[in-house]
Amino acid sequence: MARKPKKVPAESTAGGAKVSRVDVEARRLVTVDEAHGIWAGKKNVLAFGPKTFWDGAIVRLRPPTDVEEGRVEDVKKALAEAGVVRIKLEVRTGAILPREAIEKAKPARSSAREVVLLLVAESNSADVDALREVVERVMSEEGL
Amino acid sequence: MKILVVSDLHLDWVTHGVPRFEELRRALLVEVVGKAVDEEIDAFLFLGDLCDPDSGPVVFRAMATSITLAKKLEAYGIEQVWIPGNHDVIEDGSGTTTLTPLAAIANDVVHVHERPGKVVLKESVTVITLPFVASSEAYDPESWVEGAMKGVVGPVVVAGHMTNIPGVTPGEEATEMPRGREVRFPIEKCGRADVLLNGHFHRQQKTESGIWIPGSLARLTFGESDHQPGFLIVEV
Repeated sequence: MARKPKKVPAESTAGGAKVSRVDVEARRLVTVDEAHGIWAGKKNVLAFGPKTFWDGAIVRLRPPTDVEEGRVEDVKKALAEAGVVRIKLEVRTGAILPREAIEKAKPARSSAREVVLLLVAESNSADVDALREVVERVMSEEGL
Repeated sequence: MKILVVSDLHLDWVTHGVPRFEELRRALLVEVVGKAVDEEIDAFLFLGDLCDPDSGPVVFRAMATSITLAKKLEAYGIEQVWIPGNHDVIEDGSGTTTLTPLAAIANDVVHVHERPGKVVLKESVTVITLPFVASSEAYDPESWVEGAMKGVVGPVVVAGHMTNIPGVTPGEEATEMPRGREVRFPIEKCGRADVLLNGHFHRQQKTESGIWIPGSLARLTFGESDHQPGFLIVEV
């Protein structure tokens, strides 16, 4: 990214001072949403912005539901070639996720007993077995 | 006198896994310093939010960057005033901030106001500061400004990092990046001032009440995609 601060004409304040804004060229954050022209046809991404537009950008990609995976991969590859440094592919609106993926995404649940014993195993105690014995006794008393 | 005003660096920020430190450091040490030299700037104001104190090792790099920048500007004879923002304060009762290491090298040219302060730059322009402070150091901005204005001769600049300004266009600083509490800019007590400046808000703008906001040097979140990052040069 070439940066050249650009000064724009000054404005006067009520107190008589002059204030100028100085613009800097900064990394772009671009959202390519479902309605973006990039998804229609097979146009090169450079048709939607010169290389200087994409170079160094971070892009949020939201493909329409009906676009094939192959096209999504082509767009990702083309954006990377145009200089995009990070592409975040977001879940498609209205996408139907397979049941397996939903189950896999659920956080694993552990019982209180399992959590306590895990912490005991990872403790820095000189005698982990003795600690486990004490903890087991307390948990039994508490009905865990 | 020409004053260059920068704010809301957030050197610790990471956007979708991309650390922003290097580009922000470059913007500061190359572009801001370059412009300061080209424009023969007399003074520099930093209006807060260097980095969060709890962001890990990048905090040390951010603090080192502030010291490097201060030394570079000092070498060009540019007097400086630095104030902390809501992201800089450490809420452990100590009143310290991520600018505290810079305060250790403060002198007649480098002024670090971790508490509200007043300084006369180049023996001509008075700068009254309204830093964001930890809860343990809370102060009343209205009574502070009212008192600080008394007896002032010559041009006055009020520079703050207040989190509540009527008429401002808020952005991600209030949604994705919230921190701290609401503190109102004491606009009613600033009638005598030549220029009012405030950090905190990332979109460069001038409010209807006449407060100038330099904004950030980068687009940090996707909510800031349409921002034009930059800084200000004030001639008083």
